Amino acid sequence: MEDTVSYQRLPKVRIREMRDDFMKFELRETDASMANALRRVMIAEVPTVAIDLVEISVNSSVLNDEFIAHRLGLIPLTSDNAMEMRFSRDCDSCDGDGQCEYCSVEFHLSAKCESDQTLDVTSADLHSVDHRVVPVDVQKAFDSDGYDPNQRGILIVKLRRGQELKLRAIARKGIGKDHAKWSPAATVTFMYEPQIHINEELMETLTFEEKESLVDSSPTKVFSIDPDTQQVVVMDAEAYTYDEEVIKKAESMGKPGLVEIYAKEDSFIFTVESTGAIKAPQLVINAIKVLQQKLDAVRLQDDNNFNELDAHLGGS
Amino acid sequence: MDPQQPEPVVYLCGDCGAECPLKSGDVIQCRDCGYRILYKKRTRRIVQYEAR
Amino acid sequence: MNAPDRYERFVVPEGTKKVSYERDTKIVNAASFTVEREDHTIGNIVRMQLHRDPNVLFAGYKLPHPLQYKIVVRIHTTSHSSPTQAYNQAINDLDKELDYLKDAFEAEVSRVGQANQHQGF
Repeated sequence: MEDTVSYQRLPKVRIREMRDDFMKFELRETDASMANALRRVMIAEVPTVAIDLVEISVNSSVLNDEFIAHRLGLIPLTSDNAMEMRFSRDCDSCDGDGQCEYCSVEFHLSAKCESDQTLDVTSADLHSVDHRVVPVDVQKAFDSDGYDPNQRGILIVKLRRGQELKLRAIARKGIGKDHAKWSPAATVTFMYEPQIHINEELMETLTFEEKESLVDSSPTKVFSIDPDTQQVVVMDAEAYTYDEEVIKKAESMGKPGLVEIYAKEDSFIFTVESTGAIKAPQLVINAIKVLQQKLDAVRLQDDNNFNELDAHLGGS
Repeated sequence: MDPQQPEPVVYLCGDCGAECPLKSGDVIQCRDCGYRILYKKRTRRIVQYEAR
Repeated sequence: MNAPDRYERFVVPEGTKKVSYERDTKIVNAASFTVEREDHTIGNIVRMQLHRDPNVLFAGYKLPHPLQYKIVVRIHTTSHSSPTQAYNQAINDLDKELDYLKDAFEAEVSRVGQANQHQGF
């Protein structure tokens, strides 16, 4: 068999901006199927931890039990160790109840309003038994170790005098495909890198007013006029939204081909926004790992029709 | 259920919050303040919900 | 109330094969691969990778129904290859591409991480 042939690509990456909850990078020398697979995996298949079961013992708040349980589920939790955790459905150390240390994290919340002032119950009141899995805003406050009056945690419910909330919650590993609460991505987008060519010769036949109206025809600020040379220049190619307004404008001015815009089909600009459950750069790395695991799972198994394989190879 | 000895159910007054045991046939009214809206008490059991 | 569990979308039921393979009865070197519990994520990258193989005459995938959680990948090759060989090759190449991408990305993250540190981020 020709094991030496390979049609593998060698994609290139360049990071433009990188923070814990946001990143922007260029991905080159691959195709849209790969870019889209990575985007889809980041949104729906990179695992995180989120509250999945709530046992309420006391609730005299104005919100009903289901409502509070749902709100608890949506709180993003730090999930740096989620890749190493087990899904409770295939965890063998607990017999199906999904409450052991390998597949779950327990939380406790107990709050009672004793004063005439409204008591805000927030994610900061959730007490985890595992310091690695805590609400993301609590971790953030801890890291910056300063008290920020604007950062008071995610509001769960408000209590008036005499009202009380007491519960136990179990957080489990899951993926966005199961429920959006497990999605580590706020948004993931990619766009083709636009390539803009200006026909300078044709552009010189335009009056200054015509140039101005051409520049203004684009709904986003893609072009500008150089104040010194009075030439139309590309100010921000990536602001282009593929609306083709400038191309239509050039045609209506009787100058087709004045501006030509192509999408570079092997270059992508990604933006990744994280909920904070997994840091943005780690989210991309985890997506690559998950995609590899998925590919590994769809390999033909050895027992799979091996005799027929030979039948096919008659020619070579 | 024995109709001769109906077991009273404790309700809470919607106005003053006082406990109000009622038997079947009783007038639905708080004994302390006369308010006519009464609420059932929450269960003492722990209840489980899926956070979805 | 009677909605199917969401995990049915991605958990292969017991006793079901992840990938099954069926040869075309009329055309030589043509076959269909049924991949259970996968969707466009896998389908599209495998299809595009197969298109890079000059021995592949046809490669396509379909999601037969949105409530049937499987895809069907159809491959037709020249006599110099076979559908199974092309399929395995495509997956190996994609795996290697992702290996390379992961290393490139990690190197870039540490480079930018150091640059950010110098700027006092």
